[in-house]
Amino acid sequence: MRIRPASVLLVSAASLAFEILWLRLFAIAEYHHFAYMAVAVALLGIGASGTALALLAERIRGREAPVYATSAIALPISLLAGPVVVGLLPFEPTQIVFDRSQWLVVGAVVLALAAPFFLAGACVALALQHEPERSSALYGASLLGSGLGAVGTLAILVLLPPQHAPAIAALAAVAGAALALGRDADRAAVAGVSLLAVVAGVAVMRPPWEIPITAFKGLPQARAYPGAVERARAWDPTGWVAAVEAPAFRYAPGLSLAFRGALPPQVGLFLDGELVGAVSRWEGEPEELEFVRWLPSAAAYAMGRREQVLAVAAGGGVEILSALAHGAPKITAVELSPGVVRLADEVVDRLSAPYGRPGVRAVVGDARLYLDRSGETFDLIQFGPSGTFAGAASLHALDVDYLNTVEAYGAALSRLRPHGVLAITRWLRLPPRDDVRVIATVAAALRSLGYEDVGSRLAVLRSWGSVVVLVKPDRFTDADAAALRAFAETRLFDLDWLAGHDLSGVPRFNVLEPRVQARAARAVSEGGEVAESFFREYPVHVRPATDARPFFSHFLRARQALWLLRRPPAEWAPYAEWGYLAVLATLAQSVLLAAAFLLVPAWVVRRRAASGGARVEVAARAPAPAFGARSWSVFYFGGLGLGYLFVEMAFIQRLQLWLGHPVYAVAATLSAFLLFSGVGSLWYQRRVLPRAWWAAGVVAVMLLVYAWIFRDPGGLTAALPTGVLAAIAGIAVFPLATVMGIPFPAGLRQIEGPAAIAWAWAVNGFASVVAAPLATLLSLEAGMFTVLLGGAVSYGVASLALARHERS
Amino acid sequence: MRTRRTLSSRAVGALRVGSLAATIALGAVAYHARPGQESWAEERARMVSDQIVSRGVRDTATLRAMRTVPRHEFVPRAYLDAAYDDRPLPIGFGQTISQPYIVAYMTELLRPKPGDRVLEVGTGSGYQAAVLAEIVADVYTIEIFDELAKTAAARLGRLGHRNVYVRHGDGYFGWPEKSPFDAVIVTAAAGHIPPPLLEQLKPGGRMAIPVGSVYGVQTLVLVEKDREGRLTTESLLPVRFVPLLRGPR
Repeated sequence: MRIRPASVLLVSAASLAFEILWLRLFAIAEYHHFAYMAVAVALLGIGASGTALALLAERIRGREAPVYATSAIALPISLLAGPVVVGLLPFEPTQIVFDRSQWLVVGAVVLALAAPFFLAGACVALALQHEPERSSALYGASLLGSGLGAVGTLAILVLLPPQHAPAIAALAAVAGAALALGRDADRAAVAGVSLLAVVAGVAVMRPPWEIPITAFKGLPQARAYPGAVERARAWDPTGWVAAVEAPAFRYAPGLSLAFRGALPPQVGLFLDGELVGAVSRWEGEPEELEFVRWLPSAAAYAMGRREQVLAVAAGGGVEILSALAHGAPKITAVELSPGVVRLADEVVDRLSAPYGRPGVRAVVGDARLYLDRSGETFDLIQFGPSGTFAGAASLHALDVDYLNTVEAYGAALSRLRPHGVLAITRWLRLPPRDDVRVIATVAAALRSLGYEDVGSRLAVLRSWGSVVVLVKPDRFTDADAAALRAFAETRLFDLDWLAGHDLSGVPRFNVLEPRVQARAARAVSEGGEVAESFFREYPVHVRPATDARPFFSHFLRARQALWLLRRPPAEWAPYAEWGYLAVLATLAQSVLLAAAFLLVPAWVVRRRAASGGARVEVAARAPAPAFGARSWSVFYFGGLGLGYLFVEMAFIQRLQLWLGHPVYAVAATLSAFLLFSGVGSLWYQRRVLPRAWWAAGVVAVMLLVYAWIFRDPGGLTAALPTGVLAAIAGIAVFPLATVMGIPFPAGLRQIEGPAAIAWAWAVNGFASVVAAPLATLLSLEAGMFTVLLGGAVSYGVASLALARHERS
Repeated sequence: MRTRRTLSSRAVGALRVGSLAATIALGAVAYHARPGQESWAEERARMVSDQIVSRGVRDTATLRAMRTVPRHEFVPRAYLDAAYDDRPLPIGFGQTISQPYIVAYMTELLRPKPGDRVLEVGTGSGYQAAVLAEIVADVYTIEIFDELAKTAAARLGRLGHRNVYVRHGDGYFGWPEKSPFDAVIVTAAAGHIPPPLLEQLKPGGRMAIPVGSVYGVQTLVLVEKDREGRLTTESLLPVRFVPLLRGPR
């Protein structure tokens, strides 16, 4: 009985869709970094399947097809059971540093998530074991299926709310199971698969699980307020949006302590459960919006009327209201989430709709792309704060943020009209970091545009909880300075920096020692060694963020993270960058688990061999790669696993700049790489390379070339539309990804026996899992260029290992 | 002979397993045994010395109150064993009972005196109100979640805190009929400080607001209203963490 490539394709599609869907579901239920951590560890299931099959190779020999069918039938069951089990567990990762019992729960969650990956991995490995001579076709089908799974997930997230989506993956798996049954399949198996199809179909319509959003996110808290009403929901691949109205819900970020009025009724907007802003109900009279005049971000209007205003990341529209209240006739509001824009206008009447008001133009899309490509110019560009303090609190260290880089601020500055102002508002944290990095980054942006004496073009205003950095390339005039002083004094804000203007005698309302913002502004004004010394001595990392290292929210230095972790949790918890720590923890877990899954079984089998048992033959096959004789295969398949993930991670980060959203970047990268690699693998089915090591060697050389070409992709975005960039990306990826599909089957042809094949699968799987957090750390600490180089080195090592093996 | 030796080794094995199980069971019983009142008092004393005094809280009234109020009465049963741990604990509705040090630090920050009237926004478990009630004349506390307000009121009544007045409602508007207050303590700020609370603060009064992530308080903001009614704020670092500020050595 043969295993159909179509079945392998569907099984792979289901498992990849499950992976991406769980990343989305966890991002809604918890926070992005927990999603990353849980799914990364669950992916160990693929490697574990290889280990298990290597150990059981002899028992399974000759029965691969029926075992494949059993695994394929179990797969949809595990896909449906996973969300149910996770929903039933008291999973609260926010308590993990304090509550040891949470580790058990995390373990259970990982097991529940790992089961489908184990089964899907086992299916692919069994198929390869069953017909090694067709390894290219089967591996190609697996890659194609995974690629289709990535594209399909995007389509699913457009069509269905996220909680319905996992059942679609189960449906694909049921189809894979049906194809796995031979014509002589017994009735029970056919009935079982039919029943599974019905159950999965019902689960698509009425999922037996809810998304258990952590109680610490803003949405559950707003829902719990007395009189709270959820007005509407929206979803798309970029996020899940909910609009909640409650009498006790109010939003006025950083409101002056001198404000004595009342806020209008508001509807809170929550993206993936976190507050992103609020829509105010008003009757169209500017007086109703008095409160926006008392927000720190209103400082720019103190220096005069602004005709053309750009509100960046406009959210619920508070900066739109501010522009309206200050008499701006033309307002452009850019918001990334289509759901936020739609609900902001839908949940209130026409007069209150922020994006639909006369004079307001809504641009749904990435603000960085808009800044790069739009030819429009503005009198004021506002980067407002979003969410609450909690939203700003160390949860986004891993976010790739191309909107807050030297290049992005440079693009914004070049969109300013004469006497125009760029205003960037950030929440104040201790020790100050976001605002300090903004000061450093805008100074670098000014210098990159050729401005000298950058300090004279900066002003820094600070309230009790936020900081506004104002940049005026034409320099602040005496009239500007007087207006800002008056604004600050009436609002009880502190004017920390206004170069060239005497600030002695300016009253201080908000004590913060030391006066870091002024020190930072002075240091970056001086530039050179003074700035360097400031960055070096500052307790956290605040150097300018760039497109090459676009991690604006990553402040913790690696040595500090390790040092902090040696302190009691109560001391370091307030300072933790959870995303960064999650990557460290994921890497540690992955390495330990991979080592356990690779070394312990090998040790067990070696002991069996030593004891002279009946399974000596198995022992000789399975553990050998780990102990010298076939160590080339560890380096080879491990190198491929590391390298492939490194390259994917690098492209995901690069494509985010071009495509404007991480979800699109992930889907485009995974689908393109997997589909093209599938094509490459299938092409290789009927061909033979003179030297098998050439394949990995060619990939290594290509990666060096790509790393050089893509070292600065930012320049391209200014000129080209997204469609053209996507086409360029596709054309660029095609040759690379196609060649990357060849080394794995080329390597498989060099090994013999089902145990060795399963072993290669295990090594490759574990290396991939370790690669994901490793690539993230490399990117954070050394930039994406280094990650691509890491990919080249991995493929180079793989190639050398195989070359040496071939020679011997 | 051979059989006897096997049986004997099995018996030894069973004995080993049995003793291991008994040890684990005893350990579990010991671990889960709830301390008596004296032990709770000892835990409180240890909490004050190890977590609070060591981090610089010196106000004697605050320290006395922290030694007196039985924190274990304010935590959910599931977290009883962690009642005096150096951490916040969940109490439902996404709310927490703050880390003991934060409660002490905020209490000290208010400079409470006998005879003061204090407003608390966000009763939660009622622990902060109970600590304040040990020092001041009256504590007025408002909780938006009805269930939390009811359980806190019942708990405070049961523990004999007759000078704490609990109200279910929206703390944003304060408690105007009982204002002005010598001190105001807000247990969560969502982006702005409610103007009505500033109005209800007496000249010379102090207000403390922690702002930060749910994982642990990051920043404390102290608002002071001087005798002329002028407002100033100070951003404070709650956990004395000098080594971080200087960078690791």
